[in-house]
Amino acid sequence: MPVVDAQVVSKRFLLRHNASSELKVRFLGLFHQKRRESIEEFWALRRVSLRIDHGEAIGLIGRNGSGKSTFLKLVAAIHRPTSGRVLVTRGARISSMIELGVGFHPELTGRENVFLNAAIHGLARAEIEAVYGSVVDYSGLEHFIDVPIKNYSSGMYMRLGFAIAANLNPDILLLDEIFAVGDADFQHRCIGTVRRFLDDGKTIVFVSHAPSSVRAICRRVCVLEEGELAFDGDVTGGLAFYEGLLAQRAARKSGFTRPIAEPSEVGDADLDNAAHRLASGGHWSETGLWQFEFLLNRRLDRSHHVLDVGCGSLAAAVHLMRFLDDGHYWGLEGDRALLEAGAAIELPRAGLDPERGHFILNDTFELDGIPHAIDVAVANSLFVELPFNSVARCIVSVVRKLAPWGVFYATWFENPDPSDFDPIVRPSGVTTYSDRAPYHYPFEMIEQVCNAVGATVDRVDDSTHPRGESVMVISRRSDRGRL
Amino acid sequence: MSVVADDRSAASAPDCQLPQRPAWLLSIVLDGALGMSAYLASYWLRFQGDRLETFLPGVWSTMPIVVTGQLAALVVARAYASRPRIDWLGRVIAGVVGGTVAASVLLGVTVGFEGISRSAFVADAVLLSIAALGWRGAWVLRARALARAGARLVLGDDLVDRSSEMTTLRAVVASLYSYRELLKNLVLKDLKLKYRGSVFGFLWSLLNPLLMIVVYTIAFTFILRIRTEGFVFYMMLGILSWTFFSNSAAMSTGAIIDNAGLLKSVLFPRAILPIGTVLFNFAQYLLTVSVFLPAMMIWYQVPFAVPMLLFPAFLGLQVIFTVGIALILASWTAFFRDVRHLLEVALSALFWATPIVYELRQVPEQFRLLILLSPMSPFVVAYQQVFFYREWPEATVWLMASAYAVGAFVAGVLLFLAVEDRFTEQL
Repeated sequence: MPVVDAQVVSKRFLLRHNASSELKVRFLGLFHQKRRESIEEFWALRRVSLRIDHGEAIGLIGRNGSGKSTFLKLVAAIHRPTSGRVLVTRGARISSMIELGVGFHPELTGRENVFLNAAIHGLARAEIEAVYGSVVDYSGLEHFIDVPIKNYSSGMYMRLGFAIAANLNPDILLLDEIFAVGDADFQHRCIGTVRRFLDDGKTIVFVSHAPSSVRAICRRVCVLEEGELAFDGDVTGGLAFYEGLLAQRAARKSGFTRPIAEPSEVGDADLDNAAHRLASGGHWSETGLWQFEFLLNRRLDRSHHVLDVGCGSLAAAVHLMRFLDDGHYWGLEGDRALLEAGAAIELPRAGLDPERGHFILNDTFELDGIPHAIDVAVANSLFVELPFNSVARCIVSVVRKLAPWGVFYATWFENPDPSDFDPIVRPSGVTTYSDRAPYHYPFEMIEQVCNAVGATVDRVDDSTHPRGESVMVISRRSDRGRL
Repeated sequence: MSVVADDRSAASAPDCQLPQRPAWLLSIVLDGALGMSAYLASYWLRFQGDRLETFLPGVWSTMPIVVTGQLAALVVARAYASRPRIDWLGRVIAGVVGGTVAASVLLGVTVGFEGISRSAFVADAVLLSIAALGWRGAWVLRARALARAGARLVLGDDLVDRSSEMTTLRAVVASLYSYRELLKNLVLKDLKLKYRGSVFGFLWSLLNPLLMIVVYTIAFTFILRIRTEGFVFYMMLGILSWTFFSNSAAMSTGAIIDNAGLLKSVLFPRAILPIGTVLFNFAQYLLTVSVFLPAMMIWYQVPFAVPMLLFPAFLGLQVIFTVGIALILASWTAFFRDVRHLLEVALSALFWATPIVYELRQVPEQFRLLILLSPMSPFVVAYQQVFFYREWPEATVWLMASAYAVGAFVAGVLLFLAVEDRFTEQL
């Protein structure tokens, strides 16, 4: 028995381009047919049919503007479908957490706002009084409940908003990205509450960009793409499908759209002396393979999102991209020539489509383009070439992008004595320096940077690196040992 | 995968729900009959008693021209078109007004202006507009109720289409009742916010009328030397009720557009917002009146009279009228922001078109009906008649007040129902 039944629903919005779409335009429109035509159609949803059964938790994912929020608003009857219809169980109470704390009035106290807000959601006086206590308990704002909420912090504001929404006792709960606004603690609480709803047999429609939240809550995932229902199925499949969509788009953006048609005819031996393979110390094949096997030994999973910092000419990418799920490989490189050589020569040789991965080209470790948290980051033979400030910047950027359980492996030449600044001759014959490339650094220096940004760093006992570099692992302090 | 096969017919389904129009023949016959009645009624309003006798022959002879002119204008304004646009009801009004103007000009040119009354023509246009709008509105509401009942039959009782739930008058009233807690909270919120933090609180809203009384008393007794006994009492009756109306109207323009965030994320009966602003102003008016009315009656030694008991009846009509206007203004502003500015101008013009600072009986006889036709006049005049003149309100006042209250309310509800599902997209 469905509780929500969307039947061939389409929704069209009219975008008014004429800024003065007011009386003047309407008036002129009486005389000039043309004056009216400054309206553009936008189909937010196209012929979507979706049945949601009682007690189901369904994740609605899709890119920005794919129609997720519009669908929620149609279920909540805030918008009316342009065609088709959305049916819901008669008398079902629908609570839409589309925005937290909307309708709050800053001058009113917390208590007054609770009563007003609950009334907006259609509760009668007796019902409001019945839930009032639990709202206050849940929000943890007993001491501030008689203070005008203009004096609340934004966190308190959200807590109160969520406390009201959580206590409305809805039959169908519509959640739109609301976890995104709070801190980790708030998100935990929200997910806990939502799980309790599920245990009580409520129905949940959950819009999110965060795969981890979707996995934590949902049993079914629908992917919307440009207003159409592109996927409807289990969580793993849905998230993979969505990743694929993202990968396609990222590839299109990064300029590697066209698959390279002619694999190089050059043999491996000759290629090993090619400029791009000789960069950063040679041993192209060995270092790439080493990096891949190293991660495999540390339980790399194909569902992980891997960030390859300093991916160079894609020595490791050729292995990782084949192994990982589509779109889960992220390569960052500062040297355009190297990256282009890798994309033009190495990927076709390995028979890999560039669209299976994402590539970011910059030398500032700018990672904002990555839409989700990284499970495993790796920087192989990168710190060797970087002055210490760049090393620090790299660590900070990557740590910020890590999932709470994520780890960051990096190789470097260790300087065992922090007070010694002399060049060191390595067993492989390479000489490393403290003030020019190839660099060596004391572990303590890196440790200090990590500590400063709330991360921990440990040495990894591994002596198999082809160039004789040491390995460290950096993780976010609070979540150590999760992986 | 449950991607539905390409269904072109769904995308091109009829655009939401434009009201279907009643059969054109029936409409013309009905409009014709109403046109004749309105023309007669307007002459009756204009010339009461014996003078009506002298005008009646002229009325009968000019009636065919007037009614034909009105019907012709309605045709031109496409009021009978088979696929009416959303501004259908607006076109009906335009047709009536245009037709009446054309007919009166035609008559003036051919017969001469002596035999006809221009204010009667204005009254005719107003009355016919209300009547034509009224029966069409009733028709649309009934059609909606039938469609809804039909939808329920098709869908069964388990699943409902909530977006079309609240589109009948009955459903709106029912949902307003179930949201009475919200209505109460909204009114209380506005009252609290207005007086919170100020030391004298509610006393401030008494100070303003008090100051007005003092100023007017000085002005009228020492400067203008108006001799009418208790003229300030007369004026305050009008000013207080006018303030209730004009404040409600001005505030209602923001009722929808200032709550955009709320409307876009929670579903509740949208009509609550404009109605809430009216009730807030009504509450204030009641508080003020309950202090000033007894005080002024004692001060000016106004004895009690039985007609005063009619005060609540007219007050009720004024509230219904104001709710209708508020619904119109609130939904209109959502589409045209200019309404706010337009209203400011209209309100100050209306203030002087309403007998507040002058007496209706001072107005030259031929303009009296015009003044009475201005929207707030019947209510203000009624208050003055029961409290100041201590007499029963005239039939014309009853008629106009009821017609305006019902007309504004029906028009407001209809307009609101027709556009309320588009608010969230407009804001």
